[in-house]
Amino acid sequence: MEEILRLEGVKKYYEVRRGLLGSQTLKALDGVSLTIGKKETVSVVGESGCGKSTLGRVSMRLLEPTDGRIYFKGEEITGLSERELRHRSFRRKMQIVFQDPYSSINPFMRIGEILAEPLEIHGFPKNEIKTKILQALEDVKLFPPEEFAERYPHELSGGQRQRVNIARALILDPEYIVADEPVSMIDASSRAEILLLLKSIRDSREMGILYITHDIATARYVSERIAVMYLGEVVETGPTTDVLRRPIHPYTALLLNSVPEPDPFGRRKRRYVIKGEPPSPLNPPSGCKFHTRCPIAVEKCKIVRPVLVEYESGHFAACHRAEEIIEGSVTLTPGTS
Amino acid sequence: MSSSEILRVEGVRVYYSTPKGYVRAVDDVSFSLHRGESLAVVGESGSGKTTLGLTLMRALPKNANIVSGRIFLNDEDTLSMSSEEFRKKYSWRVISMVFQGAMNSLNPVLKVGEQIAEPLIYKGGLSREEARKIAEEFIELVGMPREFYNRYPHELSGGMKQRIVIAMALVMKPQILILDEPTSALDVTIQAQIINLVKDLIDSLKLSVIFITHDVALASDVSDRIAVMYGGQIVEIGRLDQVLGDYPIHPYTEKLLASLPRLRGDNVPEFIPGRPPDLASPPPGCRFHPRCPYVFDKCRVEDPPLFRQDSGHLVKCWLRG
Repeated sequence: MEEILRLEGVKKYYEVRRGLLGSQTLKALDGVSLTIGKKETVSVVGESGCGKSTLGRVSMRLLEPTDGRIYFKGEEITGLSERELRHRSFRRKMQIVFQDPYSSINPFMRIGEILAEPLEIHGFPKNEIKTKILQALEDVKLFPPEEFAERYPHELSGGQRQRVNIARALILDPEYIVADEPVSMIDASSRAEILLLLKSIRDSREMGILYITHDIATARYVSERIAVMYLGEVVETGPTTDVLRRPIHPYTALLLNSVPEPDPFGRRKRRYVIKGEPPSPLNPPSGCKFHTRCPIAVEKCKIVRPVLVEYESGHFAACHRAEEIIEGSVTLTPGTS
Repeated sequence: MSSSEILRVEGVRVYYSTPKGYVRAVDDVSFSLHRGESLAVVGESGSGKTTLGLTLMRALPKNANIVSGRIFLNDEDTLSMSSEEFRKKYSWRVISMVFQGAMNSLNPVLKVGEQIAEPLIYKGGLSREEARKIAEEFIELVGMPREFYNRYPHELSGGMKQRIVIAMALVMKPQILILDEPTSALDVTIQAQIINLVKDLIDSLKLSVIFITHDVALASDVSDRIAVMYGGQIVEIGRLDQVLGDYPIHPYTEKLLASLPRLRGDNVPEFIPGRPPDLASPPPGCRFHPRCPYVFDKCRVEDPPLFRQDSGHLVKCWLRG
C-alpha cells in the first residue's frame, strides 16, 4: 500500500514548571511509530491524557516533535521550516477537523465565506473559488449548496456545522486529514452520517485519515487499523477487527469491557472494570506504564518496559504476558466476562 | 397513588419564555417511578430530559414556567405547594439530584468533606462534629477513604469529584435520586466505575433512581425501565427488554438504536435524516413525523397518545395504536 504519512519514534515532551525553580518533564508522546496509507483510516483510541490529540497535531507539524521523524509520502518533513512547509504545499495537503463544531467556525461569517478563506490564503483565483465552495458543500451533502453558502453557522445543527468543518478541510484537496473526535459532540442520530461521510471521502479522494477518538465503537466503522494509546505510548495496534475481536494487551481488553452496549437484559449487571485512574503523565510508572492498574502484572512488568511485538499479521502488542494471553492460560476478568 | 409508586408525574408542561416565544421544553409528560426502581430517561440534546429533572427538583431557571400538571410525592401534589415549602419538605431529604456538570461546580476553597457536611448542619441542625462523622461515612460509601474529607476539589480527579457530588446528593438520605448525565465528562473506564457505584447504591440504600442520559447503551446498563424523550415528550416507556428487545417500538427509538455504533455484531449504523423539532414552533401532529420513515396522513395532523402494547409498554405512535 502506498503510504501517506509515517511517524518514526515520535516524542513530544513538555517542560512543566513546578514551584519556583524545579521543572519536570511531561512525556505526552513517548516514542510513537505509526503509518497511514493512501485510502486508509487509522484510528487512535485512548482516554483523556493518553496523547492521542498531541499525536494528531504533531503528525501534521502543528506541534513540533521533541524527537523522531515524520514523513509525508516518503519525504521527511520533520526539519522543514514553516516557510518550506507552506511553499511546498505540505500545509495545504494536510488538514484537520476539530472536535467542537460550535467553537471551531466563526459565528459572524457566512458558510461560503468560511470556505473561501483557505482558498484565498492559498491564492486561488476568484472565479475558481465560487465553484469550489459549491462543490465542497455538495461533497459533504449540504443541499442545496447555493443556499447553505449564504447561511450563518447558528442556522445549522451540530451535525451540519461539523460537515462545514469537513468541507473546509477538504476544499484544498488534502491527501491527509486528522479528524480529532469529530463526532463526540454530535447527537447520536446524526453521528453515523458524519462517520459515513468520512468513509466515503476517504475512498473517493484516496486520502489517508487519522481518526482520533475515545469511542472505540465508532473507530470500528471508519478505520481499517487501530492503535490503542496509554500514557503517551502505543500499547497495541493492528487491523481493527483483530484488535477488537482478539485484543492482546490487557488495557485494550479492559477498555473494551468498559464500553456499555444496548442490552435488553443488561439490567444492573455489575461490570468488571479497570481499577484506579490513569497515573499522572508527569510521573508515569516504571516498566510497563499500565502495571499499576493491570490485573495480571508480574514483577517484570514493574521493571522492564515492554516493546511492541508482532503476534499475528500486522497485530502488535507491548505486553510481557502477551503469549500467555493469546494461549488463554491467563484470564483478565475473574468471574465475569 | 398505588403503594409501589413513589413518584407520579401527570401531564406536566414546562415552557421557557424566550424572545422567540414559548419553548415547550416539556410538553405533557406523565410517568410513575416505583420504589427501588431505576428509570432511565433517554433523549438527545433539546429533548427536554434535563428540564424534566429540574422540574422534579423545582430547580428551574427563572424564565421557565410550569404551565400545567401534577407531581405527586408521597401522595402529595407538590406542584400545588410553593417552592419555599417544597424546598423545606422535599428537596434533598426526599428527592435529590446530581446536576449535570456538578463536579465542576464544587467550591474550590472549601474542603470537599465540608461541602458534603453543609446541609447536615444548615438543614439538619446537626453539630459540626456530628455532621463531619456522617460526611466521612458517605465518603466511604462512595468508595473513597474518609481522610478525603480534608481534600480540596483541585486535589481530586474527575472520577473522585463525581463520587463527592454523589455523596452530597445522598447525605440527607433521600428516597429518590435523579442523576443527570453523571458520567458524560468522564473517560469510559472511569464511567464504568461510577456506574458500578450507582448500581451498588441503588441496592444498598434501596434508592429509586431517575437516570438522565443521551446514551441508550448506558441507560440499559443501569436501569429497569426506559423512557425515551423526543421533542419535549415521552414517546415510549417500558421495561428494558420491551424497549430494547424484539417488540414493536416507536420509530424514533428504532432509528436511534440503529444509529448507534456497536462493538459487536454486523449492523452498520444509520442516521436519522433531518433535525429535532424547534420547540418554539413544533410541527403539528406527531413531533417525529417530519423525520419518520413510516409517516402517513394521520401523523401529520393528529398527535398520537401513548398506546399500551400487548407487552404492557407504552408507545406514542399511530402505527402502534
